[in-house]
Amino acid sequence: MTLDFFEGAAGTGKTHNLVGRAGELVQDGILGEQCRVLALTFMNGSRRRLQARLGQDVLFRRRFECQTFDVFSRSLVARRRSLLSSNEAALQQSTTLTEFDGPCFLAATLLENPAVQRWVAASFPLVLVDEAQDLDEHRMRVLQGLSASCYTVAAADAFQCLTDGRDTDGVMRWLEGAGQTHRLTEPMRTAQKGLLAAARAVREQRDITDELTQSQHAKNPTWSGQGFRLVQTPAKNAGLVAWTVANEMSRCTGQTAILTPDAQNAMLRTALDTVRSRTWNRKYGGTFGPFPLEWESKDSEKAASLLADILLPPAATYPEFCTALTPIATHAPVANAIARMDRLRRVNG
Amino acid sequence: MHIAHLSIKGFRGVQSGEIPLGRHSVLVGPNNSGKTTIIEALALLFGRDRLVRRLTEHDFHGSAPDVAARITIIATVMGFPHNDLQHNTAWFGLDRGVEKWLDPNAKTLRAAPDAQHTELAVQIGFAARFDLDELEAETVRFFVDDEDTLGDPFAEDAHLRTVHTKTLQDLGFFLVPASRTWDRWISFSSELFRRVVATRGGMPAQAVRAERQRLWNPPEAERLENQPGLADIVNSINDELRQLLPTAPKLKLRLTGTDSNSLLETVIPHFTQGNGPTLPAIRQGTGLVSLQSLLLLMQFGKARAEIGKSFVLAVEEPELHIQPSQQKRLVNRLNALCDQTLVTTHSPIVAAMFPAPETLFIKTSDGTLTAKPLMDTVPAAPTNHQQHLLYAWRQKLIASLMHECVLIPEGVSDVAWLETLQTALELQQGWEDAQDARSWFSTFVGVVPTIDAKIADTLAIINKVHERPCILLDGDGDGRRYFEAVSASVPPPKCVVFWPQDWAMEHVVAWIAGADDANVLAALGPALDQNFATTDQLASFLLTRKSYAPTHDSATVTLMANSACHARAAKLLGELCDVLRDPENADAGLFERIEADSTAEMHVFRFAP
Repeated sequence: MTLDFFEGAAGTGKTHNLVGRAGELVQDGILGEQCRVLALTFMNGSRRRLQARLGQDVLFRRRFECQTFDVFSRSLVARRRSLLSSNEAALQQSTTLTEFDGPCFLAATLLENPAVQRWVAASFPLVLVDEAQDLDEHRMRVLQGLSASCYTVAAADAFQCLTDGRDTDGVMRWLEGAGQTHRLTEPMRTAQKGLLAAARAVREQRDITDELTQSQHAKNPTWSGQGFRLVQTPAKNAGLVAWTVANEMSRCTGQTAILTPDAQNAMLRTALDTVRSRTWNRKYGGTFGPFPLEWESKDSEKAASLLADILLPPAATYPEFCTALTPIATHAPVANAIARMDRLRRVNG
Repeated sequence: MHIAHLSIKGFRGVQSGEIPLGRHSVLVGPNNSGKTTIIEALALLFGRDRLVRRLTEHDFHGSAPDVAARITIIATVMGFPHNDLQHNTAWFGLDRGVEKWLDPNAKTLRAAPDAQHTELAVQIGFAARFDLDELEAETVRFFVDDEDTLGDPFAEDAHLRTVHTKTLQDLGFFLVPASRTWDRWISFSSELFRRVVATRGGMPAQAVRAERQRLWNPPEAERLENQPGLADIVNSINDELRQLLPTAPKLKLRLTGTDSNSLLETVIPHFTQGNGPTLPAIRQGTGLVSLQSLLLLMQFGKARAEIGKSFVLAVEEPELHIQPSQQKRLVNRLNALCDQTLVTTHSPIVAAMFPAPETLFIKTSDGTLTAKPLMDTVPAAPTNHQQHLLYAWRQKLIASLMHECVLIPEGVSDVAWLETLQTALELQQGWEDAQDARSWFSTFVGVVPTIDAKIADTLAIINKVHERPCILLDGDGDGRRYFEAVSASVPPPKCVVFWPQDWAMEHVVAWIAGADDANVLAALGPALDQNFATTDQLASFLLTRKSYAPTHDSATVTLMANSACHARAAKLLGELCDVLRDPENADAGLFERIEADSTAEMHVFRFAP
């Protein structure tokens, strides 16, 4: 079957083109009366983003299904397990893999069967894959199986792979060879030349300062371009770092995002606490700071703090479980857990 | 499309049951054998939601469902257009059904097609559990991926894909239950009628809109509220209303509701016969009324056939209120129009209209429902005996199989004598007769017409569908030879009864006459136009009239009019019935056990007057 592959850097409109191409295909009537679009991603985050993006488009309304490769594979394997029952080798091999990779491996094995390919395509003749650079060996095999009978549209940027150390060459090479590749080079998200030049330098692993103009007067070494500034400050002195951050923030309007590769770094945390609390005087009058800052917590951190509030015994009866959880049932996940336990109790006793 | 197989677990009286279904199957069996359970299981699976009655505790096997109790019904559907899943994407696909391949002969399923498994099929499931907190059943209809590893459909990790009602409509299942609300079939309150109108004719929208308009604003003079007598009452009410409510609503009287739906619902079928008056359906005879439903169903079937859609019809007891000649025409017509007909019946006439492999005998014992076809396949070159039994006498054969015990006598005259004796006995039966003077013989024992003493062949056919075949043999050398043949069959008959040494059925009749030989022989003389001095003479005469029905009739009528003979015949048939029904525990009366011939599976008796 045909495969369209959009490859390009961040901001070049991969998702836009992915959805646009899918829209053209839908308008051409690729979906039969009872069929839908299958949109697959590696992570839940990009699944949610793609789901929201597709949901906005009236062309796709109620005509698509957004899933992660893991969920898709697990359900495929569960539904066609009778075809696997005679394949001892595959079943054996899947047990050596993780709980996520195992089903993907089995799903890929199933999808080598033309009957299964046709069966999937009967429901989903069109498959979309965003962030394809994240696909590992097993998930790539799943996609390869799907692309045999489904029209496939994929988007990827090798540079944005989320998993450290994953070799994206395999999947990128396959995608480029499997169909028509569309290279996207025109950045769509910004026209700021300095920012774009710096980004290009990073992608091409060149020295970023070559693209910028060095300022001679600043206290710290500083390089500038349109829409982009690079300030260097010694990372040993928390006070100096705090001043540099606060000083830069005082020059900005609107909200500021501070990104750090290491949120646990003690020096950095001290520096940011200082930004939050201290007022600095300017040489020629006036003050800046303090700036209110808020740490954005990850889902896993939220869960950890919530779990810390729950005292659960190693085993509990259903009423004990409810008593323990009801006080914090305002949290959606806790309410869900209670509802789930209630359902399990009623269905299984 | 049609349903090839049905499996039922935990529903009503059925703990488990497997039912292979043909294109036109008839389900035969005594009351409480599970026929209705099968039909209602199909309705749960394929019926429209509003046709499915709410399930209660009593629908679960054992009537006391616990947390783990489940009703599971699984059907295999086949006959998809083009035999290709690409043409049937409403049924097959990742978010719908899993393709299976069916061997139409062995009825086995495989995940992939091969030389035998050539028919594309899908399995549909229905499951229910009873929620002990909410006190109601939760149900789900789903595609069955793999029957063997199905597990609990309500489990968290069940990965079920639900079946949409719209998809099921492709199959076009329709049920005519035994309790039909006759007079309202051809009216808009009938779901079926609406569907027929929707698929065939289209709504009479123009007429309804005009009528609705007239009802909104009837001509001034025709308004009910303006008619003398009513007007006074209406005006008084209006006066009161004006004082109570600031908007002063006015009372109007209309013949029906004034929306189109109410209008349509008021339509009532009428019939005119000849130049007679036009009478509502409810005033017609039940025959005409009950034909309505089937006439309408034919229209529906025709409409679906015209647009290339399938139509599966389940009818409980099509014979209800319809005379035999019409039964035949109707059933044949339905079979011709429908992709599949599933019929339950108590009528041998209806049952005999279906091919032997699709005549299914239904039985439920200890919660296990079985459906056994009269024959697995139609013999290509049937023997003379098979022709008689399966074709000429199929009605009688089926009628006998509807009984608890099936008696295979040596020949045709035994059948005739037993039947006429029983009938005459019942005709002479008074209210004052003591319980033990009545015979339950015809209630529990069906007699198979046998020719040419083909007892072993008949037994082979009966053994397949019935588990209580019994044999009745003459007390001569031939009888002994037949006995050797049937006792070698697997399984052997439950019970074998011999007439006394050198006796045939005619000697038994003469023995009945012996209860009051002086009077009876005198009465039989004019009746049979022959004088008898002894009962032996009577027996000899009867043996010359073996297949002459008038002799059987006249003799039995005369015999049963005599109270001593009547009592003797009642005792004979009553005890014979007891022995056949429960040979293990039969206590010796007129029949004595022959220990030498009896085994654990086969009980042998001799009539010893």
